[in-house]
Amino acid sequence: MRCEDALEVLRWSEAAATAERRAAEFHLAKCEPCRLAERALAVLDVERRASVPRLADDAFDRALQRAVQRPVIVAPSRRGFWLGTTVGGALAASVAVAITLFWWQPVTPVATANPEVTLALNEVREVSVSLDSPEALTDAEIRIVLTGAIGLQGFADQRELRWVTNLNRGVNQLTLPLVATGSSGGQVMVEVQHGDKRRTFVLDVQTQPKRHSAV
Amino acid sequence: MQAVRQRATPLTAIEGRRSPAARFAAIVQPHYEVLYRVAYRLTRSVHDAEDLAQEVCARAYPRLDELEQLAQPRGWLLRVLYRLFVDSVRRYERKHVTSIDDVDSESMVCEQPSPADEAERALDRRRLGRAWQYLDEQQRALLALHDMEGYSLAELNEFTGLKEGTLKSRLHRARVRLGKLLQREATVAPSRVPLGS
Repeated sequence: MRCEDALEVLRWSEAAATAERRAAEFHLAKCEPCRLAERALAVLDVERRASVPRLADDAFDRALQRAVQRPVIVAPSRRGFWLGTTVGGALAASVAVAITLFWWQPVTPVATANPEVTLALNEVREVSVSLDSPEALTDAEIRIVLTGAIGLQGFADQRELRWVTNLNRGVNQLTLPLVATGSSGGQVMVEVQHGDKRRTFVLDVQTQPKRHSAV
Repeated sequence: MQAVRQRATPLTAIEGRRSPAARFAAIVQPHYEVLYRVAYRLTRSVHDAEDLAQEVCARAYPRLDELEQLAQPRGWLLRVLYRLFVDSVRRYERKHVTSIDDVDSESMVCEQPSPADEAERALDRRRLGRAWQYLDEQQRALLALHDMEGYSLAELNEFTGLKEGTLKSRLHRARVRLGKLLQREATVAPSRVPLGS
Protein backbone atom coordinates (compact mmCIF):
# COMPACT_ATOMS: atom_id res chain seq x y z
CA MET A 1 0.00 0.00 0.00
CA ARG A 2 1.27 3.46 -0.86
CA CYS A 3 1.78 6.06 1.84
CA GLU A 4 -0.71 8.46 0.22
CA ASP A 5 -3.41 5.81 0.44
CA ALA A 6 -2.83 4.33 3.89
CA LEU A 7 -4.12 7.28 5.87
CA GLU A 8 -7.07 7.78 3.58
CA VAL A 9 -8.12 4.20 4.19
CA LEU A 10 -7.86 4.64 7.94
CA ARG A 11 -9.60 8.01 7.93
CA TRP A 12 -12.57 6.50 6.18
CA SER A 13 -12.27 3.12 7.86
CA GLU A 14 -16.00 2.68 8.18
CA ALA A 15 -16.19 2.34 4.46
CA ALA A 16 -12.98 0.43 3.95
CA ALA A 17 -12.95 -3.35 3.64
CA THR A 18 -11.42 -5.17 6.58
CA ALA A 19 -8.48 -6.50 4.59
CA GLU A 20 -7.75 -3.05 3.23
CA ARG A 21 -7.89 -1.58 6.69
CA ARG A 22 -5.54 -4.20 8.06
CA ALA A 23 -3.12 -3.50 5.26
CA ALA A 24 -3.25 0.20 6.07
CA GLU A 25 -2.66 -0.47 9.77
CA PHE A 26 0.26 -2.72 8.94
CA HIS A 27 1.70 -0.04 6.69
CA LEU A 28 1.32 2.60 9.37
CA ALA A 29 2.97 0.44 12.01
CA LYS A 30 6.17 0.26 10.01
CA CYS A 31 6.13 3.64 8.28
CA GLU A 32 7.49 6.55 10.32
CA PRO A 33 6.49 9.27 7.79
CA CYS A 34 2.92 8.01 7.81
CA ARG A 35 2.84 8.15 11.59
CA LEU A 36 4.01 11.75 11.41
CA ALA A 37 1.28 12.46 8.87
CA GLU A 38 -1.25 10.81 11.16
CA ARG A 39 -0.14 13.03 14.03
CA ALA A 40 -0.51 16.09 11.79
CA LEU A 41 -4.00 15.03 10.80
CA ALA A 42 -4.99 14.63 14.43
CA VAL A 43 -3.88 18.20 15.22
CA LEU A 44 -5.54 19.55 12.09
CA ASP A 45 -8.71 17.80 13.21
CA VAL A 46 -8.59 19.67 16.52
CA GLU A 47 -8.15 22.89 14.58
CA ARG A 48 -10.98 21.98 12.22
CA ARG A 49 -13.39 21.51 15.09
CA ALA A 50 -12.48 24.83 16.67
CA SER A 51 -14.66 27.68 15.55
CA VAL A 52 -13.39 30.43 13.30
CA PRO A 53 -13.64 33.94 14.79
CA ARG A 54 -16.92 35.51 13.82
CA LEU A 55 -17.10 37.64 10.72
CA ALA A 56 -18.06 41.25 11.43
CA ASP A 57 -21.58 42.23 10.34
CA ASP A 58 -20.33 44.90 7.99
CA ALA A 59 -17.49 42.81 6.55
CA PHE A 60 -19.05 42.29 3.15
CA ASP A 61 -20.05 45.95 2.90
CA ARG A 62 -16.42 46.90 3.47
CA ALA A 63 -15.27 44.38 0.89
CA LEU A 64 -17.76 45.72 -1.63
CA GLN A 65 -16.69 49.27 -0.95
CA ARG A 66 -13.06 48.32 -1.52
CA ALA A 67 -13.96 46.57 -4.76
CA VAL A 68 -16.09 49.38 -6.13
CA GLN A 69 -13.89 52.26 -5.07
CA ARG A 70 -10.52 50.85 -6.06
CA PRO A 71 -9.35 53.53 -8.44
CA VAL A 72 -6.87 51.52 -10.48
CA ILE A 73 -9.13 48.65 -11.31
CA VAL A 74 -11.12 48.89 -14.45
CA ALA A 75 -12.69 46.09 -16.31
CA PRO A 76 -12.03 46.14 -20.00
CA SER A 77 -13.88 43.00 -20.85
CA ARG A 78 -13.47 41.05 -24.02
CA ARG A 79 -15.65 43.69 -25.57
CA GLY A 80 -13.30 46.36 -24.28
CA PHE A 81 -9.64 46.64 -25.12
CA TRP A 82 -9.42 43.13 -26.46
CA LEU A 83 -10.25 42.76 -30.08
CA GLY A 84 -9.67 39.06 -30.35
CA THR A 85 -7.02 36.50 -30.82
CA THR A 86 -5.98 37.29 -34.33
CA VAL A 87 -4.32 40.33 -35.69
CA GLY A 88 -6.51 40.45 -38.75
CA GLY A 89 -8.72 43.44 -39.35
CA ALA A 90 -6.35 46.00 -37.92
CA LEU A 91 -7.69 49.48 -37.95
CA ALA A 92 -6.39 51.79 -40.60
CA ALA A 93 -5.34 54.48 -38.17
CA SER A 94 -3.70 52.16 -35.73
CA VAL A 95 -0.09 51.53 -34.91
CA ALA A 96 0.81 47.95 -34.15
CA VAL A 97 3.27 46.88 -31.51
CA ALA A 98 4.01 43.19 -31.07
CA ILE A 99 4.97 41.70 -27.72
CA THR A 100 5.87 38.08 -27.25
CA LEU A 101 5.28 36.59 -23.84
CA PHE A 102 8.04 34.03 -23.72
CA TRP A 103 8.76 34.17 -20.03
CA TRP A 104 12.19 32.66 -20.32
CA GLN A 105 13.45 35.24 -22.77
CA PRO A 106 15.72 37.85 -21.23
CA VAL A 107 14.17 41.25 -20.91
CA THR A 108 15.40 43.44 -23.69
CA PRO A 109 17.18 46.52 -22.44
CA VAL A 110 14.67 49.31 -22.39
CA ALA A 111 16.98 52.00 -23.67
CA THR A 112 17.74 50.28 -26.96
CA ALA A 113 14.68 48.37 -27.94
CA ASN A 114 11.55 50.29 -27.02
CA PRO A 115 9.06 50.42 -29.83
CA GLU A 116 8.00 53.95 -30.58
CA VAL A 117 4.94 55.73 -31.94
CA THR A 118 4.56 59.36 -32.87
CA LEU A 119 1.33 61.26 -32.30
CA ALA A 120 0.27 64.73 -33.22
CA LEU A 121 -0.76 66.89 -30.28
CA ASN A 122 -4.29 65.99 -29.14
CA GLU A 123 -4.54 63.33 -31.80
CA VAL A 124 -6.13 60.07 -30.72
CA ARG A 125 -4.30 57.11 -32.18
CA GLU A 126 -5.29 53.53 -31.67
CA VAL A 127 -2.19 51.63 -30.76
CA SER A 128 -2.58 47.89 -31.12
CA VAL A 129 -0.45 45.86 -28.79
CA SER A 130 -0.31 42.21 -29.75
CA LEU A 131 0.49 39.91 -26.87
CA ASP A 132 1.72 36.64 -28.29
CA SER A 133 1.43 34.01 -25.61
CA PRO A 134 2.87 30.52 -26.10
CA GLU A 135 0.14 29.09 -23.89
CA ALA A 136 -3.29 29.96 -22.59
CA LEU A 137 -2.99 31.94 -19.36
CA THR A 138 -5.81 31.98 -16.85
CA ASP A 139 -6.10 35.00 -14.59
CA ALA A 140 -3.23 36.96 -16.05
CA GLU A 141 -2.99 40.47 -14.70
CA ILE A 142 -2.54 43.24 -17.24
CA ARG A 143 -1.25 46.54 -15.99
CA ILE A 144 -0.94 49.68 -18.07
CA VAL A 145 0.97 52.63 -16.63
CA LEU A 146 1.19 55.97 -18.41
CA THR A 147 3.92 58.51 -17.81
CA GLY A 148 4.47 61.89 -19.37
CA ALA A 149 2.10 63.98 -21.45
CA ILE A 150 -0.08 61.24 -22.80
CA GLY A 151 -3.43 59.76 -21.86
CA LEU A 152 -5.99 57.18 -22.79
CA GLN A 153 -9.12 58.53 -24.35
CA GLY A 154 -12.08 57.83 -22.12
CA PHE A 155 -9.97 57.40 -19.01
CA ALA A 156 -9.50 61.05 -18.22
CA ASP A 157 -6.96 61.28 -15.41
CA GLN A 158 -6.16 57.65 -14.88
CA ARG A 159 -2.46 56.93 -15.07
CA GLU A 160 -2.75 53.29 -14.26
CA LEU A 161 -5.19 50.63 -15.37
CA ARG A 162 -5.12 47.11 -14.11
CA TRP A 163 -7.33 44.13 -14.63
CA VAL A 164 -7.32 40.37 -14.60
CA THR A 165 -8.15 38.45 -17.72
CA ASN A 166 -7.53 35.21 -19.52
CA LEU A 167 -5.09 35.22 -22.41
CA ASN A 168 -5.56 32.81 -25.23
CA ARG A 169 -2.74 30.86 -26.74
CA GLY A 170 -1.48 32.83 -29.69
CA VAL A 171 -1.96 36.49 -30.39
CA ASN A 172 -4.17 38.54 -28.09
CA GLN A 173 -4.72 42.02 -29.35
CA LEU A 174 -5.05 44.95 -27.00
CA THR A 175 -6.00 48.29 -28.47
CA LEU A 176 -5.20 51.45 -26.56
CA PRO A 177 -6.69 54.77 -27.68
CA LEU A 178 -3.65 56.92 -26.93
CA VAL A 179 -3.76 60.69 -27.00
CA ALA A 180 -0.87 63.13 -26.72
CA THR A 181 -1.82 65.80 -24.20
CA GLY A 182 1.42 67.75 -24.37
CA SER A 183 4.46 68.21 -26.52
CA SER A 184 6.90 66.30 -24.34
CA GLY A 185 5.63 62.83 -25.16
CA GLY A 186 5.65 59.98 -22.69
CA GLN A 187 5.77 56.27 -22.19
CA VAL A 188 3.30 53.44 -21.89
CA MET A 189 4.33 50.52 -19.76
CA VAL A 190 2.51 47.26 -20.37
CA GLU A 191 3.03 44.65 -17.72
CA VAL A 192 1.70 41.11 -17.86
CA GLN A 193 1.86 39.01 -14.74
CA HIS A 194 0.86 35.40 -14.40
CA GLY A 195 1.60 33.68 -11.14
CA ASP A 196 5.12 34.61 -10.23
CA LYS A 197 6.07 35.37 -13.81
CA ARG A 198 6.09 38.91 -15.05
CA ARG A 199 6.97 40.60 -18.31
CA THR A 200 7.18 44.34 -18.73
CA PHE A 201 7.34 46.25 -21.98
CA VAL A 202 7.68 49.95 -22.63
CA LEU A 203 6.36 51.88 -25.57
CA ASP A 204 7.81 55.33 -26.21
CA VAL A 205 5.37 57.96 -27.39
CA GLN A 206 6.74 60.99 -29.20
CA THR A 207 4.73 64.08 -29.98
CA GLN A 208 5.03 65.40 -33.48
CA PRO A 209 5.99 69.07 -33.57
CA LYS A 210 3.35 71.33 -35.08
CA ARG A 211 3.98 72.15 -38.68
CA HIS A 212 4.15 75.81 -39.49
CA SER A 213 2.93 77.04 -42.84
CA ALA A 214 5.50 78.57 -45.07
CA VAL A 215 5.11 82.32 -45.37
CA MET B 1 -13.18 50.25 -29.51
CA GLN B 2 -16.65 51.50 -28.87
CA ALA B 3 -16.71 49.43 -25.74
CA VAL B 4 -13.69 51.28 -24.39
CA ARG B 5 -15.42 54.56 -24.74
CA GLN B 6 -18.55 53.17 -23.17
CA ARG B 7 -16.54 52.24 -20.13
CA ALA B 8 -15.22 55.73 -19.60
CA THR B 9 -16.78 55.76 -16.12
CA PRO B 10 -16.63 52.08 -15.33
CA LEU B 11 -16.76 52.24 -11.57
CA THR B 12 -19.07 55.11 -11.03
CA ALA B 13 -21.91 53.70 -13.03
CA ILE B 14 -23.61 52.20 -10.04
CA GLU B 15 -26.90 53.94 -10.61
CA GLY B 16 -29.68 52.51 -12.62
CA ARG B 17 -32.17 49.74 -12.34
CA ARG B 18 -29.74 47.30 -10.79
CA SER B 19 -26.26 48.60 -10.18
CA PRO B 20 -23.16 46.50 -10.75
CA ALA B 21 -22.53 46.68 -7.00
CA ALA B 22 -25.97 45.22 -6.29
CA ARG B 23 -25.48 42.52 -8.92
CA PHE B 24 -22.08 41.70 -7.47
CA ALA B 25 -23.47 41.54 -3.93
CA ALA B 26 -26.25 39.21 -5.04
CA ILE B 27 -23.71 36.75 -6.37
CA VAL B 28 -20.81 37.05 -3.95
CA GLN B 29 -22.34 37.89 -0.57
CA PRO B 30 -23.81 34.40 -0.04
CA HIS B 31 -20.28 33.01 -0.35
CA TYR B 32 -18.41 35.69 1.54
CA GLU B 33 -18.43 33.90 4.86
CA VAL B 34 -16.92 30.82 3.21
CA LEU B 35 -14.25 33.00 1.62
CA TYR B 36 -13.45 34.52 4.98
CA ARG B 37 -13.45 31.15 6.69
CA VAL B 38 -11.04 29.61 4.18
CA ALA B 39 -8.91 32.76 4.27
CA TYR B 40 -8.73 32.45 8.04
CA ARG B 41 -7.64 28.83 7.79
CA LEU B 42 -4.91 29.87 5.37
CA THR B 43 -3.63 32.93 7.17
CA ARG B 44 -4.54 32.09 10.79
CA SER B 45 -5.22 35.76 11.37
CA VAL B 46 -8.54 37.60 11.45
CA HIS B 47 -7.00 40.73 10.00
CA ASP B 48 -5.25 38.93 7.16
CA ALA B 49 -8.29 36.78 6.44
CA GLU B 50 -10.48 39.87 6.04
CA ASP B 51 -7.85 41.47 3.85
CA LEU B 52 -7.57 38.40 1.66
CA ALA B 53 -11.34 37.96 1.34
CA GLN B 54 -11.70 41.64 0.46
CA GLU B 55 -8.99 41.32 -2.15
CA VAL B 56 -10.87 38.44 -3.75
CA CYS B 57 -13.84 40.78 -4.11
CA ALA B 58 -11.66 43.52 -5.54
CA ARG B 59 -10.30 41.10 -8.14
CA ALA B 60 -13.69 39.59 -8.89
CA TYR B 61 -15.65 42.82 -9.22
CA PRO B 62 -14.23 43.84 -12.60
CA ARG B 63 -15.21 40.39 -13.85
CA LEU B 64 -18.84 40.68 -12.88
CA ASP B 65 -20.01 39.74 -16.37
CA GLU B 66 -18.05 36.52 -16.18
CA LEU B 67 -19.25 35.80 -12.64
CA GLU B 68 -22.85 36.16 -13.70
CA GLN B 69 -22.42 33.39 -16.23
CA LEU B 70 -21.30 30.87 -13.63
CA ALA B 71 -23.63 28.28 -12.22
CA GLN B 72 -21.35 27.74 -9.19
CA PRO B 73 -19.49 30.95 -8.39
CA ARG B 74 -18.13 29.62 -5.09
CA GLY B 75 -15.55 27.42 -6.78
CA TRP B 76 -14.49 30.30 -9.00
CA LEU B 77 -14.11 32.62 -6.01
CA LEU B 78 -12.14 30.05 -4.06
CA ARG B 79 -9.86 29.56 -7.02
CA VAL B 80 -9.17 33.31 -7.03
CA LEU B 81 -8.54 33.18 -3.29
CA TYR B 82 -6.17 30.24 -3.64
CA ARG B 83 -4.19 31.95 -6.37
CA LEU B 84 -4.06 35.22 -4.48
CA PHE B 85 -2.82 33.47 -1.38
CA VAL B 86 -0.21 31.39 -3.16
CA ASP B 87 0.99 34.32 -5.26
CA SER B 88 1.01 36.82 -2.44
CA VAL B 89 1.96 34.69 0.49
CA ARG B 90 4.65 37.05 1.60
CA ARG B 91 2.06 39.73 2.06
CA TYR B 92 -0.03 37.49 4.25
CA GLU B 93 2.89 35.87 5.92
CA ARG B 94 3.12 37.17 9.41
CA LYS B 95 4.89 36.11 12.46
CA HIS B 96 2.18 33.92 13.78
CA VAL B 97 3.96 32.84 16.89
CA THR B 98 1.15 34.38 18.88
CA SER B 99 -1.55 34.17 16.24
CA ILE B 100 -3.45 31.60 18.18
CA ASP B 101 -4.15 34.36 20.67
CA ASP B 102 -6.46 35.90 18.10
CA VAL B 103 -8.87 33.14 18.91
CA ASP B 104 -11.33 33.50 21.72
CA SER B 105 -10.43 30.82 24.23
CA GLU B 106 -14.10 29.87 24.54
CA SER B 107 -14.07 28.85 20.90
CA MET B 108 -11.14 26.52 21.26
CA VAL B 109 -13.19 23.36 21.61
CA CYS B 110 -16.71 22.44 20.78
CA GLU B 111 -17.17 19.30 22.84
CA GLN B 112 -16.91 18.67 26.55
CA PRO B 113 -13.30 17.59 27.04
CA SER B 114 -11.63 17.01 30.36
CA PRO B 115 -9.36 19.81 31.63
CA ALA B 116 -6.33 17.70 30.66
CA ASP B 117 -7.69 17.14 27.15
CA GLU B 118 -8.51 20.80 26.85
CA ALA B 119 -5.00 21.78 27.86
CA GLU B 120 -3.56 19.27 25.39
CA ARG B 121 -5.72 20.64 22.60
CA ALA B 122 -4.70 24.18 23.43
CA LEU B 123 -1.09 23.06 23.30
CA ASP B 124 -1.62 21.38 19.96
CA ARG B 125 -3.17 24.49 18.53
CA ARG B 126 -0.30 26.62 19.74
CA ARG B 127 2.19 24.20 18.22
CA LEU B 128 0.20 24.22 15.00
CA GLY B 129 0.30 28.02 14.96
CA ARG B 130 4.07 27.97 15.17
CA ALA B 131 4.56 25.05 12.78
CA TRP B 132 2.22 26.59 10.18
CA GLN B 133 4.62 29.37 9.32
CA TYR B 134 7.27 26.87 8.29
CA LEU B 135 5.07 25.25 5.68
CA ASP B 136 5.20 26.62 2.18
CA GLU B 137 2.16 28.39 0.80
CA GLN B 138 0.87 25.47 -1.22
CA GLN B 139 1.22 23.07 1.69
CA ARG B 140 -0.80 25.44 3.86
CA ALA B 141 -3.43 25.81 1.19
CA LEU B 142 -3.83 22.07 0.63
CA LEU B 143 -4.00 21.24 4.32
CA ALA B 144 -6.42 24.06 5.05
CA LEU B 145 -8.72 23.31 2.16
CA HIS B 146 -8.70 19.52 2.35
CA ASP B 147 -7.95 18.54 5.92
CA MET B 148 -9.63 21.43 7.70
CA GLU B 149 -12.37 22.65 5.38
CA GLY B 150 -13.11 19.26 3.85
CA TYR B 151 -12.90 20.12 0.17
CA SER B 152 -12.51 17.01 -1.95
CA LEU B 153 -9.61 16.26 -4.24
CA ALA B 154 -11.89 16.99 -7.20
CA GLU B 155 -12.63 20.41 -5.76
CA LEU B 156 -8.95 21.01 -5.05
CA ASN B 157 -8.28 20.14 -8.66
CA GLU B 158 -10.68 22.90 -9.64
CA PHE B 159 -9.03 25.44 -7.33
CA THR B 160 -5.41 24.58 -8.00
CA GLY B 161 -5.33 23.04 -11.46
CA LEU B 162 -3.29 20.13 -10.07
CA LYS B 163 -4.17 16.56 -10.97
CA GLU B 164 -5.61 14.36 -8.25
CA GLY B 165 -2.57 12.09 -8.14
CA THR B 166 -0.32 15.10 -7.68
CA LEU B 167 -2.63 16.49 -5.03
CA LYS B 168 -2.55 13.21 -3.08
CA SER B 169 1.21 13.04 -3.02
CA ARG B 170 1.59 16.73 -2.15
CA LEU B 171 -0.99 16.41 0.60
CA HIS B 172 0.92 13.50 2.04
CA ARG B 173 4.20 15.39 1.92
CA ALA B 174 2.55 18.40 3.57
CA ARG B 175 1.19 16.23 6.38
CA VAL B 176 4.53 14.56 6.93
CA ARG B 177 6.25 17.91 7.06
CA LEU B 178 3.69 19.28 9.46
CA GLY B 179 4.06 16.15 11.60
CA LYS B 180 7.81 16.68 11.79
CA LEU B 181 7.35 20.34 12.69
CA LEU B 182 4.82 19.48 15.39
CA GLN B 183 7.20 16.86 16.76
CA ARG B 184 9.96 19.45 16.89
CA GLU B 185 7.65 21.94 18.59
CA ALA B 186 6.73 19.34 21.17
CA THR B 187 10.31 18.46 21.98
CA VAL B 188 12.21 21.71 21.79
CA ALA B 189 9.83 24.30 23.07
CA PRO B 190 7.61 23.03 25.84
CA SER B 191 8.68 25.80 28.16
CA ARG B 192 7.47 28.45 25.72
CA VAL B 193 3.93 27.23 25.96
CA PRO B 194 2.03 28.51 28.95
CA LEU B 195 -0.26 25.81 30.20
CA GLY B 196 -3.88 26.53 30.79
CA SER B 197 -4.06 29.50 28.45
